[in-house]
Amino acid sequence: MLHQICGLSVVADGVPLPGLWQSNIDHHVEVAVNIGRVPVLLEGAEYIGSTWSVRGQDFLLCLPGLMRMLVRAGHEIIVEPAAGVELAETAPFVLSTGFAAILHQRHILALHAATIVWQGGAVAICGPTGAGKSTLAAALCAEGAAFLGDDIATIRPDGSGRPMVCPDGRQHRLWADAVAYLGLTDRQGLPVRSELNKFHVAPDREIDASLPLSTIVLLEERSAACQPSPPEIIDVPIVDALPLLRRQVYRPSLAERMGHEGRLFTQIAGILGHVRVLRLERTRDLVDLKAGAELLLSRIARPQ
Amino acid sequence: MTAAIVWLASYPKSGNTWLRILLSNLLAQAEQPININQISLAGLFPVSIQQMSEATLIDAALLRPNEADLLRPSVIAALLTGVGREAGDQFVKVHDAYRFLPDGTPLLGRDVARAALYILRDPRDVVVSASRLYGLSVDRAIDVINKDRYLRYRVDRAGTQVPQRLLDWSGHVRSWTRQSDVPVHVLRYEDLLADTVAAFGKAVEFLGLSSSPDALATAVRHADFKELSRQEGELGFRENVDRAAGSRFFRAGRAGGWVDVLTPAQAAAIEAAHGEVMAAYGYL
Repeated sequence: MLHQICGLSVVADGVPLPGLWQSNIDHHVEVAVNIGRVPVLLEGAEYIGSTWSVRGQDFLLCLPGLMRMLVRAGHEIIVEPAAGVELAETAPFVLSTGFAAILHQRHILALHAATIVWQGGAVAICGPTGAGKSTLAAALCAEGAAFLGDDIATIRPDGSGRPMVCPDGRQHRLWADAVAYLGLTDRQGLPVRSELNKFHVAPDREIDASLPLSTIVLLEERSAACQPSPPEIIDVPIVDALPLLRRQVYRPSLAERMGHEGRLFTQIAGILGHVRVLRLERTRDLVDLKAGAELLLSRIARPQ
Repeated sequence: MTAAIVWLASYPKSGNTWLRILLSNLLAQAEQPININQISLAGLFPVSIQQMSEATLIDAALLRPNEADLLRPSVIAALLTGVGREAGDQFVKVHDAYRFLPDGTPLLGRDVARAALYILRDPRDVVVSASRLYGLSVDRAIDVINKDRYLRYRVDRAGTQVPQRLLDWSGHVRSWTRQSDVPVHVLRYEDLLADTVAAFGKAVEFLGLSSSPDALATAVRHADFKELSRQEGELGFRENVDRAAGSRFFRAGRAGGWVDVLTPAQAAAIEAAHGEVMAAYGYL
């Protein structure tokens, strides 16, 4: 079976990858995910981090007691689970870190973002792990937006240089309280990892085309310990946006270690003229969710 | 010269924050008290999920506690390298018990820390403080300190910190005071309260930080409980993340207040579970 992940046709025989939507597109295989032996470290690696090594077009991840993964030249992922570990437990790391490496190896700009579609334009919601990107995306869908991606926003320019966002092929991933709050229990699927009350949730529709990027939203958490106040949106001037967006790249240190600093700079600078950048400040409490979503949609609709 | 960690270690609710505020004021030697929301004693925060994710290139929020444990030593080493050689002492708060991974590696890494301050507090007062701050019944708070548990382990929402295994209260104290990897200076919260200049002064001397009597006295004044409470009232305290609605972090700043709160049976339960360590540190 072929999956469409971040705009790439992927075959993953024998490696279960849950939380992806079905694809009927018949396409030649661009990425293969296989089970196999993986070393602990890349010999002669140019860079070695706490859990990873990079050598040329090879990236290796080693998580003790869990798995090892080798990603080669943007077209192959080899997974070796640790002794006694079910293959399914490795899937979240293959889909996030594995595909981050694939995209960087292919020189494709990837932001850590959940993406929705509003008024014909793709809106990428950026922020670090735990910021609430997936939850906000699901809330926006509850207000009528369409869902484009949960974790990685791949951005490629079309023929005229306009940045186009590709679906990442993933379902929503939401915590149990958000699933209940948004009334999505009937669409709840498998947990993202066993023992975690975070679940794959089927979107109400799947868009398998790329759409023009209109807006980037930088999610910022307001501390619940400080004075309560309603969510706030601030326009980010383009002059300030470049370093902020540079930080939203998916696993940026991986791209840096592969020598892509210049490429990233050029790619991000290239999208700035086409998008609006907003900062959304709110607490992570579910009570702020609907207000934040409504505020964001009305702001996007407003001319700049 | 490489940067080295100085661990500021404690079981939760035992005076760690006050110790950090004292240290922060001493190092700053400013004319005004340091803003409690701007304590900056280190360039690394090893229990941050975000920092762990950046160092490991994975979503660390997906890790089980025992899986995260296995990554802690290499992450601490990577974060310390990231701080840079010239950065000087990194005073890092830690609630983890001092433990070893199955292969014998210390959870907190080898050769990364030059010293540790371990602050402990009467567990009867720890129970009262925990019950007030977290909105728990006293009996529930007693269960909590009696259990070997992971602090901050969340399965229902995105955690911001990596789970930190505490052991029970006695296990925690023993783990830090009996380890021989890192020179440790033990101080009691009660002694710090009774004579802050003397107790803090001893800690400062142990750490080899030079400081004049004036600087020490000023730091102590700037970290006075009334000042901290005043700041919290005005500015909030952003580290106060676990609070029950309306509760204050800088609440009473007393020692021995448990006498007015715990029933004799509750006090006896704590003493039964932790009497040996309590006696060793003068609490019984």
